Amino acid sequence: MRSKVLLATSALFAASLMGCGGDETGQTPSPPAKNNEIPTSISSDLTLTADQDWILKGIVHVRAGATLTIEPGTTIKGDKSTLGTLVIDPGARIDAEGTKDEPIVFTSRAEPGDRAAGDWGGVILLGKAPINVPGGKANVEGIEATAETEYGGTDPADDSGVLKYVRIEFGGILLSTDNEINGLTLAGVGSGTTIDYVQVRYTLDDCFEFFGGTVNAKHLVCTYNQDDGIDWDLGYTGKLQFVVVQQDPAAVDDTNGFEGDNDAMGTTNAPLSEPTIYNATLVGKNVDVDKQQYAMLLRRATKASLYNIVATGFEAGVDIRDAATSAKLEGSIFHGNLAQNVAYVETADGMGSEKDDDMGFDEVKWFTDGGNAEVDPLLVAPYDREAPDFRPKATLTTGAATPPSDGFFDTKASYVGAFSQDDTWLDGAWISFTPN
Amino acid sequence: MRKTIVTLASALTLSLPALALAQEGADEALLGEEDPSRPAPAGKGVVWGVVTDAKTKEPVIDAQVSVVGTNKKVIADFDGRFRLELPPGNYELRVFYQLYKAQRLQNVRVTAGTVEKLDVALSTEEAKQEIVVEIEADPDRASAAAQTLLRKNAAHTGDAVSAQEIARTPDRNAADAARRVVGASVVGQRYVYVRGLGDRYTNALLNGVPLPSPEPDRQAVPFDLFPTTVLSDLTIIKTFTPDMPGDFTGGSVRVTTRELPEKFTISGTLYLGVNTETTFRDRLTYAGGGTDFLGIDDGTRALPPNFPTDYKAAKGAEKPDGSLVSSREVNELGRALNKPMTTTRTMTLPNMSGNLTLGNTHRFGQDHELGYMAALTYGRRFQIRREGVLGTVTIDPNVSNELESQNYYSFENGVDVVSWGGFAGLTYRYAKDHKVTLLGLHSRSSESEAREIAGHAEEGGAGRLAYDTRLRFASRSLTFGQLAGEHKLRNANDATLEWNLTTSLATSDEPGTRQNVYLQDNDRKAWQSTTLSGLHFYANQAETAIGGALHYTQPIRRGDTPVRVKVGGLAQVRDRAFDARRLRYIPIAQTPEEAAAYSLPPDQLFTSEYIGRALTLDEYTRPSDSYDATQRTFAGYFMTDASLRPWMRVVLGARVEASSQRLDTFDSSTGLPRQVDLSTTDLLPSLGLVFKTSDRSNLRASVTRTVARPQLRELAPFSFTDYFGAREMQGNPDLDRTTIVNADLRFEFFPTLAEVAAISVFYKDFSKPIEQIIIPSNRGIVSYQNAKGAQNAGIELELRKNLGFVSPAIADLGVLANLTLVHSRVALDDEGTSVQTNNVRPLAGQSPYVVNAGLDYANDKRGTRVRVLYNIYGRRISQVGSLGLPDVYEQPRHLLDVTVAQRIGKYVDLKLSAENILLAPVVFTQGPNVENVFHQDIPNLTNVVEQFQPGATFTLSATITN
Repeated sequence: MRSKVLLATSALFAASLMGCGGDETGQTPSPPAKNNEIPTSISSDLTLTADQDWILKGIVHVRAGATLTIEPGTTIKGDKSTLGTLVIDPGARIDAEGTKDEPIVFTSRAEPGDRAAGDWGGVILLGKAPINVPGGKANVEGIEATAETEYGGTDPADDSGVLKYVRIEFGGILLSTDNEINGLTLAGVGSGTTIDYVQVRYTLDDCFEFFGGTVNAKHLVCTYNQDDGIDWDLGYTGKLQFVVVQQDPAAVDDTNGFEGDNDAMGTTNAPLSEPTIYNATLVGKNVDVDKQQYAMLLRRATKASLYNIVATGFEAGVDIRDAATSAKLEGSIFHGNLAQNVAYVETADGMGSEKDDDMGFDEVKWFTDGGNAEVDPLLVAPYDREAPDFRPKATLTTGAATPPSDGFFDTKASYVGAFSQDDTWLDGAWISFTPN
Repeated sequence: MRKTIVTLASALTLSLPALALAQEGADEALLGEEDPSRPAPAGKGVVWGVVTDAKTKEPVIDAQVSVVGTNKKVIADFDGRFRLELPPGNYELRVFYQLYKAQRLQNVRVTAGTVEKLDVALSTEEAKQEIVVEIEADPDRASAAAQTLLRKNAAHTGDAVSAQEIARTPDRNAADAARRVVGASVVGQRYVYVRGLGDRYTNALLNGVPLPSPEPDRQAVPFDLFPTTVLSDLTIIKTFTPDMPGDFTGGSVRVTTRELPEKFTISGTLYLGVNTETTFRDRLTYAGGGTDFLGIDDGTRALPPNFPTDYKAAKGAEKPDGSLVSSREVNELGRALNKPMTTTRTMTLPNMSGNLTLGNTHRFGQDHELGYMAALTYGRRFQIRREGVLGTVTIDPNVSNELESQNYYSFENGVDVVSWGGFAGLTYRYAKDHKVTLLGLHSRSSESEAREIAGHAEEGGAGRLAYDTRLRFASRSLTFGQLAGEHKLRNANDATLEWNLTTSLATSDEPGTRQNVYLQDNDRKAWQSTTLSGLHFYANQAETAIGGALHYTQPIRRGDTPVRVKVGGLAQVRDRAFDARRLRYIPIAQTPEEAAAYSLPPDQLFTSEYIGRALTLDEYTRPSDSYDATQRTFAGYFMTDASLRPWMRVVLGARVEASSQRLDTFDSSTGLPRQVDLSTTDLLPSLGLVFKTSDRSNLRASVTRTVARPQLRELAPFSFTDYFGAREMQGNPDLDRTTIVNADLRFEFFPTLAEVAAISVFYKDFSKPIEQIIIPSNRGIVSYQNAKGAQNAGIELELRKNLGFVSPAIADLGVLANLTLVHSRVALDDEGTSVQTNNVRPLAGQSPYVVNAGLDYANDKRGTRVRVLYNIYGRRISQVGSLGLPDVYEQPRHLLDVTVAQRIGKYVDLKLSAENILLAPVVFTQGPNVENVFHQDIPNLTNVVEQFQPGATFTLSATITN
């Protein structure tokens, strides 16, 4: 039996591409053939205009030296059959700068109402900033490994472009065995890159995942995905500020607000993962679930400096796993985490989450010693699916840390959480909470 | 005891040049079961007798009895008996056999109507030998003595195990039997490694023809597809001569099907076996189909009838008409596809199998013979692995070299193995000069497996348990058809022409493998939607091969310094098509109430009720999950086989092999058609020298060049996953083929035809060997590289000796032993291999030593045979380590097998065999011992990453032969 599914799919797809002269070698700019399909290899500058919706088919690479510009108000629809995914190769740039009311939206090809997580892939930025894999370079599983797509390097200030007022939704297709695509993957991305006002929602995997790199980001919104909110790995050392994660109470798997690793084996390979995060509001499922759910799971030798975090509605606030892991948490509030507000007490012969996994490290003492509080932050409507309000009734200034004046952090945000009581940064068309 | 008939044949044995020496019009005597002392035909008299060894009194098999001054000649049978029918007169007889001093019997008087007995005792005492008459027999290859003879006279270095030998072991198929050959080891109970070199360096030939492979991920032929019933012998040739395909370095594994019988033969065997780990225990299983017992799925596991084949079964997938699949449609597909995800248990019956062999040869007139042979075999056996261990370790090379346990699971599985085959051969022979054979073979084996894994997954935290269930059915088959001919051209100085046309088909089918994962936290157990959960996987592959070969041998000079030249060629085209589909159920619950379904056990969750509410079907088949590939090989050769002196023979020649490999698939990124080509033409010279150091010994030396080509998928420049659960792999379109220079030296000594002592040394220098590497990524991608170089050096010792020399009291005892030692080093290119732990290491799969030792007792009078066999191989790399982790090694196993056979009466043979009676476990380890940090509940945790106990198997069989 010869399954025709691939042949047919591929033939259709190929036919449409052939027509466009879409070139594999990428020597010439490739004007889209079916007018609204993005060519699979973009090797010279290309602009996606806002006057039509664009279809993203296959794994589209923006090649080194080229810039993909996306006009404000543009909608890009990812294709299911061909695993529609956008990859910005190292040395290439994306210039996707929407506005509050004319955002750039990456969404499903399906009609509204029939959209769901897993309808397409995601957006992947690859850069030349340091990662901690021996040899300093790595590949993304599921994408053909070539010299052009190897990420990592020695340029911490590398610039992959701009993502501003961008929404990425209904993605997370399985790219290869055991490898779902995150909403926004940032691998070896350098600090010259601007990531600001990006919402990822309804994806099968993590909203944001950082594989090494030094990229900084502000105003990250993660709602209703099936895995972690912010995930870091392979020596990520950037800075994040104003992060909000709202989890899907129907998600089946382990889901954490932050999940941080140094690498998959927990080695202390340098550079060590050590993000600095100020002002985050992490909202859990707020229901008793059969799986683990921590506001922050820090493990496998990562380091982290975390300030002004609100964590509520999880199973437990934090688990610091593996003896080599170390983190700093200050100016933060844990409240309403259902099983253990701060952390499970772990013993060697404990069962399940109560089994020691860090050579006796005492998370509760660590939490208290950091000057963190267990008080009700009085958030307005953090668990509302379609009209949430993550702001506190009163700005949480008590005990808050002041972000350092380093050119990135907003130093005025000396409050706990991602919002002050009258913040409006979630307003505008760039944000959506509508399911399907 | 069944008599084995040895015929003189004018047809030449083509793959064994030394035997293919022409001889002037010899007659033939067929003894068979007929009494050699039977009355003489009209007008003639009879001389008959028994040829024995003067010292041991054993019959001398294959002794030649010739009538001096005529071309009349007969060969003694397995009881040493001969019979000559002669017109009245006075004759001189000459009785000769290799290694013995020839005897002349003068003044033998024959009168019409008389039958005279004349026994001959041949002596091995040193004496000036008479002129050596070349043996020109086409003996039944199935006997051990025949194999020794073939080997002694062969142009190449090789080792064989005959059907007769196999009968003395518990071996059921060719893979089992290969384990007995010097320097061979069997991996995964299926693939043969020679001198420790992997399947890349081994080729497989059936009756001289390269076989296609049913394996998606390798070019290897699974030798368990050949039941021993259809085998005449299994030979592993270790040095290349130009008349054979040059794509081997370790060995060329040649399976030869049975020769035709000379008389009506019918034989049947029934086997009954028990395994200490399996039989009468409860076995994990699952609902299969009605034809599982035939090794074929009846459609139970197949995709539902109206399942889309021209678009993906996933919401949002584009249909050919441009519309998108809706949620409603995909939920219907999901309900139709849904099958049980759970295992059940059943009591395990003993293993049972049987076979039937039938054959005869009919003679028509003076010159025509038509013979046939057919065999059927069927077997079903079960396997349970209980309390198996699986694990992974981690290391932080910055801190210490100590490993820590990461994941730790116990596993249990139950496997139902079905294997059956049919073989039929038809041979027409005309006047001893022409032989045409048509044969067909079909062989199939299937494994239906239910597996449960439970344990600690680091990903989920120290205290939680993961449960993984997998249900799998895989079926492989091989179909082979061959028309072959052998012709002696008397007008051309007895040149011989051999040809064959072959077509074959190898398939593998894996319909509907299912895998599912649950996680347990304290007492709460719930479905996990990891990417390896809720899965349905389908794959099938078919590889066809058609081809032909031609060999022409021209004798140039005869006598004691014969010279022959041989030319020939081979053409073969193989086409492969591979398809896989990957489907899985993904969660879609919108509310915590709907999500509560995930806490239901699988038989309640995977139901029509929840598909569409909590679960939906998704398909993630990739463009590269389908490919077609073609491999064309064209070869031509010329060689001379010349005895420059009676004691010195030179085999010199060269083969040109042109190969083109082409793979057609679709680019994973773009979906565009993508094609990879590798075309190479290689000149493969070969020089072999055979020195007859005495009549009983040879010294052989050879230098040859051989080639190893990349496997088709290794050239593919895209990511793929070869089989279910495999690691992500990516081929390398820049791979080149490997060339190898082989140097071999062997001294062999044959005290008698039943005894051998040999020592060999070999050295192999690999240029651009293809080795697996790990490309850095989050988890590591497997790829391939032409390494800079590799060297293997080794020594082989072999001994097969009767113990009668110690004391006549133990003359029925014999020892057999062989030993292979190999030193292997490969140096990888540092470029692109930054995450590999060891860039200089032994070749993967290479054992530093392989030992076989055995004790034989054979008393033909009582009909009793006993064999005790011991086998061990040195630890070998099964998986290359990365990111500071050591390489994974498969540890040695002390395998002890015993077989006792007893003939009862004239027709029945009983055999009891015991395998693995030392209960050697299968153990894979990684690096030095691991300190038990988190798993205090599992004592004695060491560096074991996989372990299980296959148990001992006891099999009783009864063979009835006419």
